[in-house]
Formats: sequence, structure tokens, C-alpha cells
Amino acid sequence: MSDIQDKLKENVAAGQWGEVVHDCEQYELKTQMRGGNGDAAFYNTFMIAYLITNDLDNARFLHKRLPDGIAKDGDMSAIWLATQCLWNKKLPEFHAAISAHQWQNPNIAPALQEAVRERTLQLYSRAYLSVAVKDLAAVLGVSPDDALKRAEAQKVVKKVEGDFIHFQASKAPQKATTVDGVVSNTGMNTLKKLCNHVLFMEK
Amino acid sequence: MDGIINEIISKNKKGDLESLKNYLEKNQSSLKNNVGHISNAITALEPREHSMGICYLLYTKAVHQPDQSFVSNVELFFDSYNASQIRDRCADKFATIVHKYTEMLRNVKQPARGIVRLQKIINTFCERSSELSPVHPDFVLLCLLSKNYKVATVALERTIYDIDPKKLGVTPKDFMMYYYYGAMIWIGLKDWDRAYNFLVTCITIPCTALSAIVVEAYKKFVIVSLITQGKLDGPPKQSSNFLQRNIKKFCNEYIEFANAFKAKDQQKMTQILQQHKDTFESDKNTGIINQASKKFIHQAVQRLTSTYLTLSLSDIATNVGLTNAKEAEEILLLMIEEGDLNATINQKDGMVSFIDGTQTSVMDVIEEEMDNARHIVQQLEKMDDDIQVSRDYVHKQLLRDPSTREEIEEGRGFKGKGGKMLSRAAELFQ
Repeated sequence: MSDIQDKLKENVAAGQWGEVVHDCEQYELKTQMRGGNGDAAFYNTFMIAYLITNDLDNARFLHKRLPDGIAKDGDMSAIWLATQCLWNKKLPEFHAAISAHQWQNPNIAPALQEAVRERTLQLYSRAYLSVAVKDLAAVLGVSPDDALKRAEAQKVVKKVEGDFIHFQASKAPQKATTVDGVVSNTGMNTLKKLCNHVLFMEK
Repeated sequence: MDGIINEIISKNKKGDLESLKNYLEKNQSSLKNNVGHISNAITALEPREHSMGICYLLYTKAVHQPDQSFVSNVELFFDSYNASQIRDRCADKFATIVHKYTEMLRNVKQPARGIVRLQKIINTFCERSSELSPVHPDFVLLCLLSKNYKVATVALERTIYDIDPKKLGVTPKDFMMYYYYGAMIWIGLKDWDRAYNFLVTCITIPCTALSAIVVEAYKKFVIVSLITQGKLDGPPKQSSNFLQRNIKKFCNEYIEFANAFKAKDQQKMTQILQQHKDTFESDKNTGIINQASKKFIHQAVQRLTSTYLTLSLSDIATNVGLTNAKEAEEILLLMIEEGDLNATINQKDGMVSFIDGTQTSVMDVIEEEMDNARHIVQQLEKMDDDIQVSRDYVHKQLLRDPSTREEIEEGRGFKGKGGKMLSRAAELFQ
């Protein structure tokens, strides 16, 4: 258990949440193969990692297979409440639940909140031409001034008019293509595909 | 029992596995009479070296006395068995062991215990990732029971082309269960396209009678069709005539719901849900039907994009049958987040602007589909080549040709050019 804990601490500190998910999944399968389970701290980190990587489906399934006793653990019950709020798209309630709980591990909850705020701001800047500042502040779980500052820091603000923030029109990013492992934005990849199609049709 | 063990050890030493197989087949009744001693007998054998022998012993135990030690015996065997001894010789018995192991884990409520082992067996028992084995459905079942849906996707994402009952012991039931359980995994992960493909594969198995698996799969197929395509066109064209004529009487409630969905009659859908609530609950399809009801709203919004470039939130709410503009805004935001809709919301004016999909994204989809089609055609060509050189096909073709059939039937040699070659071919394939 101590090996996995050290590895998880390292990845959590580095913000490598994808690695945290992978390591937790592998560890859980191996311990279950031997008929055992992880402890409460392990499952708390595991759940939080799923939420930070926005994998709500697997977070729900993880909660369903939690060993007896761990689901009612202090931090886990708060994490589950937060998961339900995210699942039902109730973001103001999510931030309230995170802020209200006294966390045993004080580092992971801020990471989750920031990840959700970043995703929410990206979604709103993509989905809205204009939105009320107070609505944006409510879903980010911050004050209206803080919401404006965050949006300006992301360079998505076109203008602020009264109580409304206007976002810049989002452009679809040009997809980079890969030819033999080298990322390229030229037409080489398209040419390669066309050659394959022509050879196939000739055959 | 000692005699059997000694025979296993000596024949393995000589490398005479065919002879060992014949011996074990003939002595199955003796094994049955000594089933209580099998756990002790196995300790005298090496799993890696005596895999076929242990397979027969564990098979006997699985059929006649699967006691508490069976699971640990099987796990020790699985951890270091030699798949080459099992394939083509006793694959059906190996399948029985795997099925019994899965059943026992299920009974003691420890399904997660077998996931890593069965995953490893799929990789070692199958020589190619495109092969279907009897281990596949049990692996997916354990993932379902233990709520480890993500682990199952590693196997489910492989495309299955090769199904060889003699080599790997796979049966039609294994085929149907794999695709049915696989569809349930994809439904849980909300990958509706893959769930649809898996359900189609399950229900289009050739049949002259309806199995319970196909009936349950068809019920889910009806609902998933509504989610992916907005309608149900009936059973797939490639399904058997028997299914096409008889399936409806087993899932009337689902067909009714699908008809109301297709007619865009939300009130009728709600009425049917209430009326047949018990049926849907007992079939454990309530969750997926609720998903279909949500998708009904999303599809109604998507239909608006073909008529309007901009529309107010309140008009969207009225057209789609929602309570108010706020609810419409929430649904639009959800659809934009999930990638089901390209639109922007102007909250200040209460207006929504619908945007066409970019040309780049459409071209990417077309190219990906063309690549998939090319890959599948290459696989089909390879399968066609394999069939053309197979023993049964060549013999059948020789018999079909009137000029060669007579000679084969009368046992005379062929005449004329190439006659000697054909004569030799006929001898080989008789």
C-alpha cells in the first residue's frame, strides 16, 4: 500500500491526474484479484481523480463498487455529494458542498474546484455570446469581480456591458495531422490517405 | 488416480499429446469416480507442463464436484497454463472450467477477483486479437457484475473476425452472450453507437428459434435505435426470417413506445411508460428508457436547426414542449457540452443562433469511415481466400462440376489435361 501511496502523492503534487486514474485502476484490480481492497484515502483520491478528469460515468461506477464502510467515510460522502451535483449540473450547489466540508486532506478539494471552474469557463465561453455576470459567478462559485477577472485572464472577453459579459466568438481549432509520427499541418496526411484509397480502388 | 497421473506425466514427457487426449477421453468415468481426489492429484502436476491433463481433471471437478477448493485450483492453473496444449484438443473442456469458475465467483459475490485472470487468459488463449473465445463473455460478465465497466472496453474495442469452435471451443451461446453483455457495457458508458452495433450483431445470429438472449437483446435494441437514429425501422434486414416474423409478440410494450417516439407524441410516450412501468422495471430497462426520453427532447431541438438559423429561448421551449426559457437554456447548454449541438446563446437578448458543422469535421468523419471500410474489405478478402483453399469447399466444388463429379463418385481417374492433378486433389479431399 505504501508504494502506491507514494506514487499517488507524487502524481497528485505534479497535477498528473490522468496518471493518478491509471495507477488507481491498476492497483484496485490487482488488490481485488487477491481478494482485498484499498483504504479510504486511496478511494478518496481515486474518486477525486475521476472528477478532475471529468469522467463522471466511471466515478458513479466506482462509488457503486466501494467496499462496505468506505462510502460513509467523511471525505467520501462529501465527494459523492459533489459528484451528484456535477451529474445534475448543479454547479452552485457543487461549490457550496466543496467549501462547506472540513477535508481531512486539504489539498485535493481545491484542485477539483479549480478543474471544474476551468471546464465551466471554457464551456460558457464557447456556448454563450453573452451571459449575466452573476450567473457566471454562481456557476464558478466565486464573486462577480472574480468571475470577470478569470474570464479576462482566459482572454475570452469581448466586452462587458452593464450586468452582461460578452464572449469572443470561438473559432474551431484547426486539427493538426500526423504523418509518420511527425505532427504536420500540411496536406501530406491527406495525400497519403488519397494514395491508399486510389491503390485500393485500382486493386 | 495414480495411474492416470503417471500416464499424464509419461505421455507429456514423450510429447505424445494426441495419445494422452485419447487416453483421458476413454477414462472419463474413472476420473468421475475419483473426483474427490482430484485436488490432491493436481499438486503432483506442473500447470505449464501438464496443462492438458490438469484441464481434464478440473473439467471433471467442474462438472461433478465444484467445491470450495475448485476456485483456488483453477486460479493456480490459470496463472501458468500452456495454451498451446489446450487449443484444438480440449478447448471445450477449458470453456466449461472457465464458465464454472465465473459462476462460482458470482455465487460468492466476488466477481472482481476473476477480472485480471480472465483478461490475461483472453490474451494467451487467443492467438490473434480478432478471435472470439469462450472466455470473452465471462470476462465481460465479471466486469458488469463488479461495476468495472472501463476494464471491459479493452476487450470490447477489438474487432472480432475469427470464430473457430474447434480450436477455441466457442459456442453460439458464447457469441450471443459476449455481444449482449458488451452492449450493456457500452450502454452503461453511454457509447450508443457501439451499443447499437453490438446489439445488431447479437440479434442477427442465424436461428430457427428465438433464444431468451436474443429477445432481451432486441428489447434493448429497440430503445438504443431510438437514441441513435430517432426511430425504429424494425429488425435489421440481415436478421433471420424467424426473428423478423416472431419477435414482436415478445416485446409489444417496447414497440408501442417506439411508435409513440417516432410519431413525436410525448404525451403518448409518458402514458406508455406509466402503463408498462412494471414490465420495464422487471426487464431492468427503466434507466435506458429514461435516457431515450431525454434524447427525444434533444432530437426535437436538433430538428429545429434544419429550419431556423436563430430562435428565441422561449420559442424553443414552446416548440419542444419544455416548461420555460430557463429549462430550454439548460438543455441547450447540456447539448453543446456533449457535442450534440452547434449553437451559441445570447442570454441578454434571449436568442439562440444555430451554427452549421464545420467542413473539416465532416471530412474527418468521411475519411475515417472510408479507412474502416477499406480495412473491412481487406479482412473479407482474406477470409474469402481462406475459404477457397479449405478442404470442404474444394471437395464441394469438385463434386459440383459434372465433368469431375462422375469420376469422383465412380472412383475412376480423371481424363484429359490436368486430370492427374484433379485426381490427386480429389484423393486428398476424400
